[in-house]
Amino acid sequence: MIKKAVIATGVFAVSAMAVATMTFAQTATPSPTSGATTVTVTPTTAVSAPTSAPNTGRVN
Amino acid sequence: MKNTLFLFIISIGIIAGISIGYGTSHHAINRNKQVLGDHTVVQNERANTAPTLSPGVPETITIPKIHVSAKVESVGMDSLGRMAVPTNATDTAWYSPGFKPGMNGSAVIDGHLDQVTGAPAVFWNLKLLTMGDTISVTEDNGKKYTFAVSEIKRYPYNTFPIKHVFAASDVPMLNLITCNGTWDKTSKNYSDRLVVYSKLVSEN
Repeated sequence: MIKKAVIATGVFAVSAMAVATMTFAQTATPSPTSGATTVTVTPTTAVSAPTSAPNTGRVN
Repeated sequence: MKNTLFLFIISIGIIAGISIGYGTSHHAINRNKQVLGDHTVVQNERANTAPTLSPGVPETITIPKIHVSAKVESVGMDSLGRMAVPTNATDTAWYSPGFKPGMNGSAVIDGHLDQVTGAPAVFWNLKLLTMGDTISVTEDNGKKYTFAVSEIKRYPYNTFPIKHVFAASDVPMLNLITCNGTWDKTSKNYSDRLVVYSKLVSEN
């Protein structure tokens, strides 16, 4: 009888862990397109900065 | 009878296990959603406190200290990849592919130092500005941004820190550029550049 109780408890525990793991893995992972997890990265320079300084001397 | 009882106990174990496991996982999911929800609120609050970006385009620039009130042209790069310049001695030019005055980042406006005749151009007296002097940019929709000079630097043309002058920033910056130093007849270029850095102090 004790052996059966141990087996039943084991089945209980394994079932609980398996269902919890599967359910959480399927539904708790945020979608890649979720706005809540979007991180905005600020660029270090303007998108298309010039390559050198302007020539601001002696205009016609 | 014993086998029936055993199967009954096993069945109860499986059912109870599924129920508790499902409940536990949903509790965790709800907590996770709550955390994500709070994060969303924080991001929205940050967005609400960011400077409002006007849809207008810079139209005029005024610098009271040196009596400048000039039109602002929108320019990009010339054929050599340099920031383009205004079409005449009296206008200034905003680098439109970069940041706009009033938004976080370094907006850049350039202006000529002088003319071929030797007469002064719009930014002739830019070198007279000092810390705290104000510079205002007004857009075509009437929105006005006022900046205060925070730094004045002179750089050799060949080592001009282009990435620094056009860099991103956590605050709205306006950087003015003009020529400085000595004129080289061969290259038809001045030896240095003067950059006046300024930070946004008000908008209306």
